[in-house]
Amino acid sequence: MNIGVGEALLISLCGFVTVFLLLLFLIVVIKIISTVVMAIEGKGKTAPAPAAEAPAPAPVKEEEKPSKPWDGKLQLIDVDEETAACIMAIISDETDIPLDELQFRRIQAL
Amino acid sequence: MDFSFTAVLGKILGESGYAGLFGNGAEGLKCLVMILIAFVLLYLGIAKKFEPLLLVTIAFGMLLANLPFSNMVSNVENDGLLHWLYTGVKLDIYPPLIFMGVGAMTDFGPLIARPSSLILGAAAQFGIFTAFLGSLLLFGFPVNVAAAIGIIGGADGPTAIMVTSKLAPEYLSAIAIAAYSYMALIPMIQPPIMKLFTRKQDRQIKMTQLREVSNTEKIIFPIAVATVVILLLPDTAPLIGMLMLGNLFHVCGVTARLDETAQNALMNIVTIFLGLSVGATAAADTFLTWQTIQIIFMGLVAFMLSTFGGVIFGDLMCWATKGKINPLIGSAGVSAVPMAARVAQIEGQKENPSNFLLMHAMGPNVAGVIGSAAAAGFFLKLVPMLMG
Repeated sequence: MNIGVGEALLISLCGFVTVFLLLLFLIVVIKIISTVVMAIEGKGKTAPAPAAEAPAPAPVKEEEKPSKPWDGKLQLIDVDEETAACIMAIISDETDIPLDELQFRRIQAL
Repeated sequence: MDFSFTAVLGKILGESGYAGLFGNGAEGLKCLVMILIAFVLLYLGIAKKFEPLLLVTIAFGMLLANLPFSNMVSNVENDGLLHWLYTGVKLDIYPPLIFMGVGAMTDFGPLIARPSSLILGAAAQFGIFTAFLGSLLLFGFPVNVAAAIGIIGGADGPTAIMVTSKLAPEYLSAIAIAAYSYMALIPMIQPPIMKLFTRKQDRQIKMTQLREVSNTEKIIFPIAVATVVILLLPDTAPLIGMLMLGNLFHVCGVTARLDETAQNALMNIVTIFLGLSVGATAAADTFLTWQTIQIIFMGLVAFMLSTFGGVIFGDLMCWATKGKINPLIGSAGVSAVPMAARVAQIEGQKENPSNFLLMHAMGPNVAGVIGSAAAAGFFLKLVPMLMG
């Protein structure tokens, strides 16, 4: 069966619009699901256990505070030199910044 | 009983495929051309790695079906092996099973994290409807064949096979081969269009990391999508239903064995059956025609226009979000998972080496699968109505 230009145009437009509307509807559905799930899971996570007390924030160690201006030396805290070298190489590779252009002031194990 | 060696040899040769090829006039010549085409497709699949899992199987099915007197498809007394395998295509069994495997292998997380990706998945179906229009108006194809040609633009092999087997089965081999060949050529077809319709500074945009999607959202997603889409377009049920079932196996955490089977064993078995039976439909009489060349041409147009649609909407979303969306991810809205997303990643990284678009492009990419299945559902509903 052959159809005319006008009808062909109308079918194409109708099909494209149908696909668009369906997927727009799916956006709404996904947003609703996400909102509901996040609200429920968020509630579950934030609800504190009545008996348990929130742990007090860990006291900030004295050496973490920048007490004096940076002296140009890399400070390693609970990290050995080999691990620090690996971390610097990875950061340099990921950011595409040569090592000699990167400044590391402190590497600290958390 | 008289026994003559020359008589036996003559009988063997007279009934051999060689006699069918070289002593059968034009019919034999047509088979020879089809065999050569099968060889070329085998070369492309094996040496050039063009969608090898399907192209090698389709090409070998084509070879077997065109070897004279092989009786792989049918003979006088009964139907051959490939005929029976083809019933899986005719009855719409294989494409949905492939979709189940695709669903089991797909992570819808990026789509759930950024649902607006669905807009790009819808926009990239532009090629389907323009190629449908072009096939009707430029080449005068009947509406059923035009719909089957248009669906090539969805860049989704199983969807193209399913729509064609229902609407225009005589063109199944041409459309399947065009669809899979162009899917393999995506890294060559898409980049020029992506560059032509995007600005350099937009292609360099680094997108912010997607939020983490909870497992509950991932489990509800396939159930909700199957329900919503199938209720609206019931004809998409075999494709969307199986896609979402496969995904549910993958994410629900209690069906690991089914997930593994859907992804590997079942997917591989069905791929063999589908490829062989589609290849076997490539009979010389229907394949060696001008229509095949027109279909292959319109398939390319459909692919290009789908990429164009996705990229243009990528530009629009880039503008609407004030530069938060890299328009290159729009091109991934054509299905072809995950090849189209990889192309977006590669092109993005060419412009900005520290750019990682792959996860962002996976959203439109999997949205494209849903979009093309929806377009297929539209045609499957409309064309029978138009044809009375």
